[in-house]
Amino acid sequence: MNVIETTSLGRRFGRAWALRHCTLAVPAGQVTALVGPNGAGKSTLLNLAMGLLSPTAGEVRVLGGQPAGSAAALDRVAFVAQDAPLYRHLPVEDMVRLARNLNYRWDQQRADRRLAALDLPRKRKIGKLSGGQQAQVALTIALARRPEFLVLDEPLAPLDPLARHEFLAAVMEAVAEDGISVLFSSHALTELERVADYLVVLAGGRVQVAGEVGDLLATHRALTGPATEVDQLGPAFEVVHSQHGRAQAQVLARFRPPAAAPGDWQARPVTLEELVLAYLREPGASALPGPEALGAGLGTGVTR
Amino acid sequence: MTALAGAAGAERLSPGPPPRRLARLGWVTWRQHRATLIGVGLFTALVAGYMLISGLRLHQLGNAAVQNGCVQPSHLTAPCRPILSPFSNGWAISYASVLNLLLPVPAIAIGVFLGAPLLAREYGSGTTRFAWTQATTRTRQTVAKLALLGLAVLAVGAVLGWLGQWSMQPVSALTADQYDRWEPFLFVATPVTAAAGAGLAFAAGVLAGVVTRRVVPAMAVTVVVTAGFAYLTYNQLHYWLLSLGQRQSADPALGGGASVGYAGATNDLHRLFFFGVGGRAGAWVDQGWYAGPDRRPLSWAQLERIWGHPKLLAQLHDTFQVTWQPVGRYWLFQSAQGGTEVLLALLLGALAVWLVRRRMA
Amino acid sequence: MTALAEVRAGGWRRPPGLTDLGRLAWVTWRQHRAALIGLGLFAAALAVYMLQAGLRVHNLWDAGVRDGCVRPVRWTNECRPILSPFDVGWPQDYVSQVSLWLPLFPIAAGMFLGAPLLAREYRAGTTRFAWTQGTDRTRLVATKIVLLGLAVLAAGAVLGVLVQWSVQPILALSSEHLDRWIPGLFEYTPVLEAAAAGLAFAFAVLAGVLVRHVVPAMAVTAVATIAGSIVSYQQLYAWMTGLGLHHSADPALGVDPAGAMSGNVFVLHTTAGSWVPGPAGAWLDQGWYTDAAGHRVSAKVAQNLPFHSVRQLTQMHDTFQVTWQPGSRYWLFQFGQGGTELLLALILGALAVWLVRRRMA
Repeated sequence: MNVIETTSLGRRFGRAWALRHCTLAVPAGQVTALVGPNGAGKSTLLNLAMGLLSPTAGEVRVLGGQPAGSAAALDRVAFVAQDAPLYRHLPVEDMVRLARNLNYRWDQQRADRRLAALDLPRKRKIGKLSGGQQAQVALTIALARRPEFLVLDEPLAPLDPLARHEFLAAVMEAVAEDGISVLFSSHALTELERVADYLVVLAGGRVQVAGEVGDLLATHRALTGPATEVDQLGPAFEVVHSQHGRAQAQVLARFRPPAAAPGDWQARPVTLEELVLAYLREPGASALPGPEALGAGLGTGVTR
Repeated sequence: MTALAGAAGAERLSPGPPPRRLARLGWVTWRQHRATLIGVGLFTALVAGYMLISGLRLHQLGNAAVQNGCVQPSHLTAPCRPILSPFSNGWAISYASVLNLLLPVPAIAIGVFLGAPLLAREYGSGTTRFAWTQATTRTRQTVAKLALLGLAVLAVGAVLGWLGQWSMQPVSALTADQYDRWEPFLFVATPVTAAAGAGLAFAAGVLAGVVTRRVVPAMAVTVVVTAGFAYLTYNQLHYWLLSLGQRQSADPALGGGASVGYAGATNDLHRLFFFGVGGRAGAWVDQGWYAGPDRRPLSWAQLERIWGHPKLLAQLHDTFQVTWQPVGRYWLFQSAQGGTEVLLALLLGALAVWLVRRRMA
Repeated sequence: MTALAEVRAGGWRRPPGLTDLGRLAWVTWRQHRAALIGLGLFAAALAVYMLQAGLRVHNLWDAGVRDGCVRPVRWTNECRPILSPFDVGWPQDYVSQVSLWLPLFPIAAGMFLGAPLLAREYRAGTTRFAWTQGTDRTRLVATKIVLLGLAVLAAGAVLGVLVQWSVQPILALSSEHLDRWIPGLFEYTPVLEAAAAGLAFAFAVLAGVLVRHVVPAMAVTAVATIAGSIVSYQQLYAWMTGLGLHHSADPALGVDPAGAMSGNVFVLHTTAGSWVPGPAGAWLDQGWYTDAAGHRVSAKVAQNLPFHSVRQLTQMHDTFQVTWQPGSRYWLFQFGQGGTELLLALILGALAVWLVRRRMA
């Protein structure tokens, strides 16, 4: 089952398209990271997935074909929006109770356990908590709903490094406990590497990269070699992005294992951060799944 | 040239002359509150337009009345009827009732929509952390804002008050004793008192905003306080004010009137007599009573015995005592009320500024 | 069974049912508690004011009944001190005072309960929480609007009852133009006060959804409610009471038609009673003189006809015709206006819910 499936999804605000021709299919049971520069359309995509916005073009479905925002979808999908919007004038316990009253699925014990573990004062108003504490309350509520699919919009942005670590640990604990699928957008590339199974890179309203992290890392290498010989890397190594020095060039290339790099070149594995940055710097490049050639020179008919 | 040296050539504002600073602060005030100022301005313009149009029509009727000699209301002769009938039971009277309810509204709206959110919004959204950390101190900013906006509010209030007074002139003239300028309704509809009222409402709103630091509660408090104060003024404070330094003397002509209302045991006259009675035309008559030889009010029981007997009553006319204010004192009272309200507004504004200085962010 | 399988199988799920309404009611109360309490306090203050005034008025009335001054009304010397406060001073003033305060309730209900209801959620971004919970947003918003709307209707009805009760004796005894039909008092009944409050509330909610900012939504609501009541007071009322008028001759009234003249027609707008001859309890709309042939006389002629006796008029072959509403239609108009306002409120509320559904986050 695909936990989220979009077909040529697009959303326009006025004249500008925030998201266009977005086609994705993320399998269930994964932790999916959605990355991209500011204004790339990440929040738009997540809002569309939650039924907060309706598409201008295309469609989006969740949890194996449920229309986004439908009653069935909302029952099983939990969302923590950007900046953890909660009712600031309510104390923590009333906020939790309010969420309980608005949902059919609710595990009060889980909520209590988490709040106790977080040592959050129950009677303090949400508005008086720190950013990290507010994010944790929002996550507590989302997890207490016992969702099958958890969607988070830039949850780590307002958090300090320790708080980020704790937040991600809580998410991963829920993943381990329940086997839920997670989709979250973030700028924190180093943390993503530790937790993400599936990666989607969004740039300029379009999907640039979509694939399993293991696959992506296995099919990309960072190469260092003479600047003059960059052209000679193909067709086995498809250059994604190159940085030229005076004599040396640093290249991030996509290849099909087990091809080996030419003699003058040194290859090493890439980190997720390097991979994402390389693609973001080359808007024309893409790495998408589906019936598509894996590099121009490998001949047609090679599909994944 | 290093970056720091470059900074030395940058614009320096501080030692500039005060008017230039004020102009800059004026722009800041305008730009920051533009939407509210436009909104409140539009509303006030609507009310003013209504008063202007009605006033023009009323004055037309009033001039026609003068031309046709219909001024004394008892002259309900044929040609006067169409001119005077709006004033007996027609649209002129309904205009007066609408104005009665409408006149305090712009002042309250100024307090609620301009005054209350002025500082409350900054506190609520946290932009004080920007505004209070600029080179212009928070005191100077707040004082400039309050002064500029306060003056604008006073001006607007004065215009509304003048319009109210001007438009009601024909109504007062042609409806005998129904609408006189001493009554609470019209007493507030003058440039002086309307301006002062608007200024006070504005200051109250600002203070409420600083105290509560959240917009909607500040608005709620301002509504309650300004409406409550207006109510108090209309009913208690106004009559208390007019009772200060009253004169007392005999007024036989009034004593013979049958159009005297009674409140309790004393004869209570909150009315104004236009017909040059007793040489006190235009005076505000507060209370009147029939007095015995000892100058003390006759009891109700005593009065009852004589009421149906015109001759005995005639003897008593000479002892009908009234407490009254001379007509010349009208503007004294106007200034007193206006001045007190402006003073109170300044006090509230100063309190607001003091609180702004004291508070953290 | 893994946790996920358990979740998929429907574990942790409570069945939807009647308790849903209780849960949503709790959500509504807890989220909007402050506004509800504030509005409730305001309504309670109004209620207390009317209650104590009503008790005093009824005491006066009972005293009048005891002393035989009231049924029928006798203006003897003994009765004068009891009856004349109903003409001049308090409680006659009470009627105009309550006219000042009572319209504030619908305005307050709209401004402080209705406008922030959805506007605040949009402004603060908490829609991203509220619209993504297990309860469908349509159901959530509709339930909130209905529950809060019912509370507002109930409070308005209670206030309307208190007004009517407290004002009853004054209407019975006042010789002024006070009766239940006049625009100033027609609106102050349980039906219409509730309907007005409900309409203001619904409009405010819609304004909040459209404007999406709290203070502007409050301002729009205030202006619309005030403008709406002015229009309703002056124009709509005249239009409504002009529907389906009866027509008959009323020679006795021709002696002195107490109304403003507009052309050759007298605008009466008063209830037939002991001082105004006409069909019993009828609301008199307009009147005019007709000549022997049954045509309306011209304005010039009509100006000269009043103050002749009935016999003189008959001799001149002039009769006085009136158009009027039967007194029994009072409740028809009450429910007609109230029903229309409620219908409009429902439409506006439904429009608000529909706009929420439209998925603009």
